[in-house]
Amino acid sequence: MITMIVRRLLTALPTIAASTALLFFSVTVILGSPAGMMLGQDASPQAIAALNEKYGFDRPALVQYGAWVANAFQGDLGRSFTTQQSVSRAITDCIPVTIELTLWSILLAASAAIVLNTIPVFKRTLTGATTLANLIGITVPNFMLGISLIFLFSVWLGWLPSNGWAPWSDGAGEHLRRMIMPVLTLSAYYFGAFSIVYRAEYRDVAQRMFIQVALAKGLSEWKVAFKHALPNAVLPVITFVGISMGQLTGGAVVTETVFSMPGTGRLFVSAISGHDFPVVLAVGMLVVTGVIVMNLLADIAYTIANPQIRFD
Amino acid sequence: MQMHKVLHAVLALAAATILGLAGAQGQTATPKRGGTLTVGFISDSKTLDPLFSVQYTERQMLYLVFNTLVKYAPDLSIKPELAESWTLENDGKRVVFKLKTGVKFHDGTDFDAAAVKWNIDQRLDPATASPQRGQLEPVIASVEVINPSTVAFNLKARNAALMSLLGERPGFMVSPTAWKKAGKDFSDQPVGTGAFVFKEWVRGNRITFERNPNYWEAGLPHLDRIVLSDLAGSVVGIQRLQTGEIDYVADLGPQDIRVLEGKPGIVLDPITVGRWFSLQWHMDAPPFNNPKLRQAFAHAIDRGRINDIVMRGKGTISNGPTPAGLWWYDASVKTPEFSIDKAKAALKEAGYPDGFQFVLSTPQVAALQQVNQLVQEQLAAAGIKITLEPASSAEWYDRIVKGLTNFTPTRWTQRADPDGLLYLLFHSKGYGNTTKYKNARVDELLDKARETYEIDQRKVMYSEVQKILATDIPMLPLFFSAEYAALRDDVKNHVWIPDQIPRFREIWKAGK
Repeated sequence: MITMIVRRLLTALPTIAASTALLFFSVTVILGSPAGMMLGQDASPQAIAALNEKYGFDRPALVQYGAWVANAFQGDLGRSFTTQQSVSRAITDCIPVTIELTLWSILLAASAAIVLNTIPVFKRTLTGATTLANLIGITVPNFMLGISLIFLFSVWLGWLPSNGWAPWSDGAGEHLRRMIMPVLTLSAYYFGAFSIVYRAEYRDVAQRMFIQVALAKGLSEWKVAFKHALPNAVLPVITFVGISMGQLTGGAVVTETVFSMPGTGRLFVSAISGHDFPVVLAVGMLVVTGVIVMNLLADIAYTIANPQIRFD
Repeated sequence: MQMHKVLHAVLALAAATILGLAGAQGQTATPKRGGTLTVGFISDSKTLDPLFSVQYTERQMLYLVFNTLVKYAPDLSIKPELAESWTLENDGKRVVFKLKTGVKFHDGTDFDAAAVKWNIDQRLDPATASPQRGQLEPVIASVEVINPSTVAFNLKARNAALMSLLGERPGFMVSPTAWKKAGKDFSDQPVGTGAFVFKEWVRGNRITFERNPNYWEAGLPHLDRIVLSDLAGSVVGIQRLQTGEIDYVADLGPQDIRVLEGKPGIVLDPITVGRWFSLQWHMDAPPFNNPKLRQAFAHAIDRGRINDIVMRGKGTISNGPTPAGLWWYDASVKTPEFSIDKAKAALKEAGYPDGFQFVLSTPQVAALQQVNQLVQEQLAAAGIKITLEPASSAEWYDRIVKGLTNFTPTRWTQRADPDGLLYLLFHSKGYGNTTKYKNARVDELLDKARETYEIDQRKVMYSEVQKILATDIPMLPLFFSAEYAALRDDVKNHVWIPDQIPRFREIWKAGK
């Protein structure tokens, strides 16, 4: 297993290099120099030319990319061109927010999807209801769901503050209370998606002989569902969780925006609109790494959930 | 002659025209001390370093942390701020400022003539790469410290627009000591002389300012704290205002405010001078270098109907870049009137008897999309077929600057001096002249007006410019927007300045 992990991590390096290169060229070639964004609407062509020269935006894209790579290798991700902030600081400020949102949301979505679709009583009486919930989760856009939640919980009921997020420094209670709506919003889609995957697998497993035998032996329906069927049906969900968590390291742009959360998604979007390639590249690198690491963790989790699976 | 006397004349003139427009509420009661003002805003802020600021929403915060050398009154006349008074010398090519004494930066260092010189020199230095260099460099030759409370600007030429520049970004005075110490981190550690001290910026979430206990303007500020909280959009802002979580939200359009109209506890305060919406095209290339074609377009557009639908009739129809209420407005300037028959006739004369077709760039901005749909419908009635071409809002203006977009709507905020917008858009050397308009007489008048300090003479010149623009139609005027701030009713002393940047320095809260 150790060799598998090492091999996976080593193959990650060229993946990261290739994806940052792709990002770099799309940002610099398609969007162009950040000078216009840095100088504003009234800038003279001379001022833009001077700035291009000062920062080297007029050099060939390959040269600029080389310079960025050289600095990145020394751990220097540079400074944002538009905010002047150091990129590593901007990223380290954003990551905890995004990770926290991701963890809560995926945890809620996965456990709700698994539990609701395993409980025998629910399965018989609430199939229609869970199907509807799945559909809503998958189809309703996060922006609309978020705003509807604000309308329901803040404007109508007055239970929760509409500003979804507060830093830990405002107190843990305040912070957690304000996580409720963003987590509900983001987990809706994943709940639906996990449910569908899990249910399909579960139905399959439930037909198998060992389940029939267990039931025939007189084991309780609950015990069969949770102890025998669940572990065998959960594998696809684990894979899906891994992929989702990886993708979410890039932030949940819409949810972060609706609830004013300072996560990586917002950072990424504002960096793209500012042609701010040091930030775009750093977030891109983070997402690629995130996807690779999370997939790796999912594979490791496989071996725990099903000891028959081995990586050698 | 004392420059501020000239400007007082401006004030009198402007005040006479727009009296009653400004400052809708609450100047009579006694201000109450204390409280937190929570402002919701859709942030495009990148930096709080005035030397590098270019984004729109940054300025409302810069006006809290920093003072400018001079300030704008609600009628756009120029008032003293850090500069107490000023006189013109050397045939108008030297301005000598007398500064307020005893003013300190938040870091405890003194604000004095040397600080003013450093602030201007730093912006002028090419190594700084300040976006304001382009505004200051053509005007200022050197800055000279005469004594700690007197500083002189030597100008390259007489320039009537300089004072208005010193009331906005180029005029924000930062602490030289703090700026040098923080380097690029000044971006989120700003230090000025302003009424509020910067406390914390959680990017993407909120920015907090605390009262400056040593503020130099007597009796100010009234509030203890101002929090600017990021909004995902106007819809969220309106919801949060109704729950009372925020006290103030601006940039609301006539459609946005429908739900707030008549709601108890909420006050709507309209801006006094709206943004200018127009259509523009390339003047130096076919097909729009054909004046008859431009005329056909002008006759085909029903500006009143556009205002009725997009602005719910609350905007003002525009005949040129200048709205009523500013001293350089001339009511006799008229854009060709709406008439389908005249439009068809002009189209024929232009050489398109069988109609004409073109694409109109359509950025993903709701108001501009609505405008374009109406323009498309109206031009169709005159035999002009328009295809709407979607443009990403991030790249849209960039493409206009690069000359890649020909026919497009644009919108511009008024500047404090006519030299601002008129020169920028219509002088052949203007940085914002993306239509490539070139008229020798317009250039001559704009150059001359820039060097003229006498307000009456300037007004005559700008009137002539606007009349030529109405004939040449480098940009086809549509309307001036109606926009609103919505406030909880305990927020007092909110006053709009026509630059549309909300000012919170003098606001106070009545408390319940």
